[in-house]
Amino acid sequence: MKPFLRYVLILAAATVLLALANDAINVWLIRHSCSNAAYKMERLYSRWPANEIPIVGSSRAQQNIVPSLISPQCFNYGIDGESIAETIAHLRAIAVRGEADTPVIVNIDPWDLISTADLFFADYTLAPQSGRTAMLDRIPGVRFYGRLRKSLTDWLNERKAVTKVIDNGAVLPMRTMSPDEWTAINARIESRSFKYDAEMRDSLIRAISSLSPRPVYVLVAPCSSRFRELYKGKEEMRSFYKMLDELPNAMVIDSFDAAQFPDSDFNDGTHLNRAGAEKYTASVIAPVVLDDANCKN
Amino acid sequence: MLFNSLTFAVFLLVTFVGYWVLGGRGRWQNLFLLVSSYVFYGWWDWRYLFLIAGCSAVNFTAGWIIYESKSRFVRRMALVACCVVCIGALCYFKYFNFFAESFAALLSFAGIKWNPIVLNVMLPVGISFFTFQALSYTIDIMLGKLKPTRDWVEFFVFISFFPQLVAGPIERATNLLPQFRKARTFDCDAATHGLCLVAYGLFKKMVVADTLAVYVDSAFRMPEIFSSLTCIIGAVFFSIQIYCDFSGYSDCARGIARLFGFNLMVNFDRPYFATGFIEFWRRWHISLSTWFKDYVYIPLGGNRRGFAKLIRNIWIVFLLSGLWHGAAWTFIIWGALHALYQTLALLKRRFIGESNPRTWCAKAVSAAVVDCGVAFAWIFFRARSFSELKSYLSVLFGCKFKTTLMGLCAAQGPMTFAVCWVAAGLLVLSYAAPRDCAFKTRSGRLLFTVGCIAAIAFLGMPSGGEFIYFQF
Repeated sequence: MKPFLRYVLILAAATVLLALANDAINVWLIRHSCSNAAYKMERLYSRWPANEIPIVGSSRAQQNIVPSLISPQCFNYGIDGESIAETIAHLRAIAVRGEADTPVIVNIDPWDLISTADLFFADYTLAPQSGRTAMLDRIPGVRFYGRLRKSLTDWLNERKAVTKVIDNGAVLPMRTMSPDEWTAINARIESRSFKYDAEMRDSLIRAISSLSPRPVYVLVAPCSSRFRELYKGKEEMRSFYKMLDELPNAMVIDSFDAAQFPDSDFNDGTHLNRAGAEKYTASVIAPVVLDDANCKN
Repeated sequence: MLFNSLTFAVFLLVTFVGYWVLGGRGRWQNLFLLVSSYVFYGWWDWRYLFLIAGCSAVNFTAGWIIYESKSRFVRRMALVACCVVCIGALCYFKYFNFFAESFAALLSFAGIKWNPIVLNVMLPVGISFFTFQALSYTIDIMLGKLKPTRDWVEFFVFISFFPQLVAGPIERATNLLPQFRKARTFDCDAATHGLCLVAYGLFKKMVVADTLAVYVDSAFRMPEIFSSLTCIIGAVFFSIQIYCDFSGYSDCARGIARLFGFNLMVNFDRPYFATGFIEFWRRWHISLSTWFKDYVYIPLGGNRRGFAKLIRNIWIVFLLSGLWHGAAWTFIIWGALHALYQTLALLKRRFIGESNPRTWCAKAVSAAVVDCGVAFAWIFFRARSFSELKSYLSVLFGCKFKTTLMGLCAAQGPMTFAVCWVAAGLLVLSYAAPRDCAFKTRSGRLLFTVGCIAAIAFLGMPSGGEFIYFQF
């Protein structure tokens, strides 16, 4: 048994070393790629620069809003798959910073109240509403297991823009869909009915209130024609707009039904492509945010 | 409890320590393994335990009746009862809804509307495997190949032995039962070989199969937005995925069994190196193909009753094999395709003659032809429905080769596409190792194991999920 135990110990030591090497490589890659979710989390909670203009939300924020077209201080904290619960937690973290002047931009969607996140936040548990709160996510060697290709992809895109352009945290896919692809995708889009969560609504309203006196811009990003058709006139949409009306100290910029964004501006049903995102930011968001800032000055 | 889960790692450690503390005391080791195996199986659903215990009890009793009885009628009735219980359980849990819905569809063709009764039952994990394993015991006793065991613990643990319980290999009593009969003492070489096999199995599953699954799932989900080239690559990747998933499980099963001092049969012998379709089935899922050969093909007459009956027997075996894999017409068509390949191979052998490629170039070409045929058949295996199958085949044969980079990557990104090829390349590299990880030295074995662990650490997919063959 002793030779076997020795063999097992050697294997265990090798496993630990390899796991730590994987961890170290991931940490290095993440720290050097601002589009990575773990980077964003670390920056949002511990390393934010002063007077930053944060953009918060899901992939609809991440892919639809181009920070550099708003301000050099703007950073896009949008995270793919982020749920409204995480967005609320991020808004609270921003409120705690105590800054007063710079605006906060947040994207919210009608279906947010039922979305489920598939997020990974190494080192940050975001208690009580987090994507993954397991203890394993904090253990070096284990926390970044399976993440190397994602970290490498983010790092490469930042430097080489292989398939995506990175702009201060925003991820802008460069592809556009062909008509055939659109036809196929549209055929598969089905409307979901979603339960309106009053508790989440109240929580969102409180989180936005806590940002006061900072100016808050609540965006509802555009959607493709098929999506607009599916959700038009739904009861949930009416409840959603009622909620938007109740938001205190926030300017709502609703582009959900905006007809100036044809399907050719989209990468898929709900995300703009690069050209579409630049058009949306330059023509809809930037004029309002910058105009507001000018008025204050 | 999946093999690639933390829960299983803890379970294995506890079972390993407890088992070897009892080292040298065979019956106690068997009892300990029986309890552990039932805990393992009950972890999915404790209700399944009644099924496996019942199946074991019926076969154990039938075995003795068949052996002791002098009456041919009684022996036959015992065997029939055993088959009815085992196949009946399989049909109830696995095939009832399929047959009911198919019958309803047939009636609707004839203009008769009938709403079939559909059962809302969960498919017990591993039922296709342990029922076949139990039946092989009883049939072998009937054929005089085996004496029944007196020890019910030995038999129950033979049926429920946890490494091979849920996805094979389908062991024969002639191989495994004698191993339970003797007391096992710890063998360091066997144990280190076992660890090597487990690492290799996990590498195949977590690095190769789960990586390729991302591409394959995307290609099969929406083939109409991709090109024919993407569909071809998807079919090739699925061939590799299913091989790595299944053989990876088998390697883990054999490796874990080696840790406990058991030798399970080899279930895969580099099947994509086969230079003929007949040879392919001597290398792929060997335990199942030999089961069908011994208990269906040979009793039907095999190749001893003329060429026409040989072809008939081949078709019966492969159609049953397709049905065994799943209760869906796509699986039956998959089986039929393989029956067709076998038929063509036999016709070629009969009228043109056997061709044994000699040079490596000829072997490579023959293997490539076989692999193309097999990959095409896998499309039917993978498709979840006829509409998915139709979409996939129409794009595959649509000669639509114009594609974008994203289309070529099945919308998963160039990084995922590149990693798929890296994973496939690592698999090919792993073939430099001796067959069955039979390294001559412990240091060679250690190096290979560490290599597998490195690949898992850097490229492994933690959320890969179940092994494909668990669904059978």
